[in-house]
Amino acid sequence: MMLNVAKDKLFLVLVALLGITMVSWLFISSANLEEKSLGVVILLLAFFKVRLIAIHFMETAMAHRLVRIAFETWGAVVGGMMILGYLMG
Amino acid sequence: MNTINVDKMTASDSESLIEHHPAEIGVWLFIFADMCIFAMYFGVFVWEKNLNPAIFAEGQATLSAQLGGLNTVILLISSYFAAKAVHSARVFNIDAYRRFIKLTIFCGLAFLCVKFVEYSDKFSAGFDIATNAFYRNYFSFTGFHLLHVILGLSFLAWLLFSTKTAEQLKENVKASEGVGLYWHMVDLLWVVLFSLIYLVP
Repeated sequence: MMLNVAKDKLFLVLVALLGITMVSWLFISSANLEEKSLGVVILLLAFFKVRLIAIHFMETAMAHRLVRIAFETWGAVVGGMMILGYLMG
Repeated sequence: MNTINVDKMTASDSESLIEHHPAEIGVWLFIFADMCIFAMYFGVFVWEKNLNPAIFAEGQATLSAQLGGLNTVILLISSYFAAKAVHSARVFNIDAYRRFIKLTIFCGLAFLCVKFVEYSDKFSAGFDIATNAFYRNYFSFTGFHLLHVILGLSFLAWLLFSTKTAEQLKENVKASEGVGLYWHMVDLLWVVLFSLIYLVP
C-alpha cells in the first residue's frame, strides 16, 4: 500500500503542493521577515505551485511545444509583473 | 469490462501514452485566454493595492485566511482526483474514472460550501461590493472565479452522466482531458488569488 502511494507521482505532487501551501501559511504567522520580503516569498511560492500544477496535473510537459512555451511565459511574465508591481507600492 | 492493466502494459503501450498530447489545441487556447483575463485582474488588484494600501490592509485583516486556505487545500485535492480521472479514462477503467469524477465533484461542492460561509460572514458583517476598493476587488475576482468553479462542476456532472460504460468512456477521453484541464486551471488561478488576496501583506 505504502509502496503504491510512493509510486504514484501525482500523489507526491499533491503532497508537495499541500506542503508549500502550509509553508506559505506558516510564513505569514511566524516568519521574522520585512513585510515586502514576506510578500515576495509568498508570491514566489504561489507561482512555483502554479508551475507544478501546469507541468504535472495539466501535463504541459506532454503537450505541444507552443503550449509549454505559452504556460512558462505566462508564469514568468505574470509572476514577474506582480512581484515588480508589489515592490513598487 | 474493458480496461487495460497498467502493470501489464508493454513498452510500446507506455510510449504511446507518453507521446499522447492531452486535449485539443482549441481547449488550450480557451484556457490560455481565460488565464490572460485573470492575469489582468491580478494586475488590477496589485495596482489598486498600491493606490490604497491602508484600505487593502484593513480589508485583508477582515478575511479568514483559514477559510481561504481550506479552499486551497480542497481545490488542490480535487485537482489530484481530476488528474487521476483522466489517467483512468486513458486506460478505459470506467469504475476508477467514475469514482474519481465523483470525488472531484464532491471537492468542488465543498469549495462552494466554504465560499458560501465566507460570503455570508462578510455580508452579515455589512461588507459588500460597494464597501470600498478592497471589497470591490475581493468580490469581483473571487466571484468571477466562483463562476468558473460552477461551470467546471457542470462539465464534470455532464461527464459523469454521459459516461456510464467503458464504450462511452472511449468516446469521452478527449472531453475528459478538456474538462480536466479546465478544472486544473480553476485550481491554478485560485492558488494565485489566495496568495494575493489573503496572504500577501
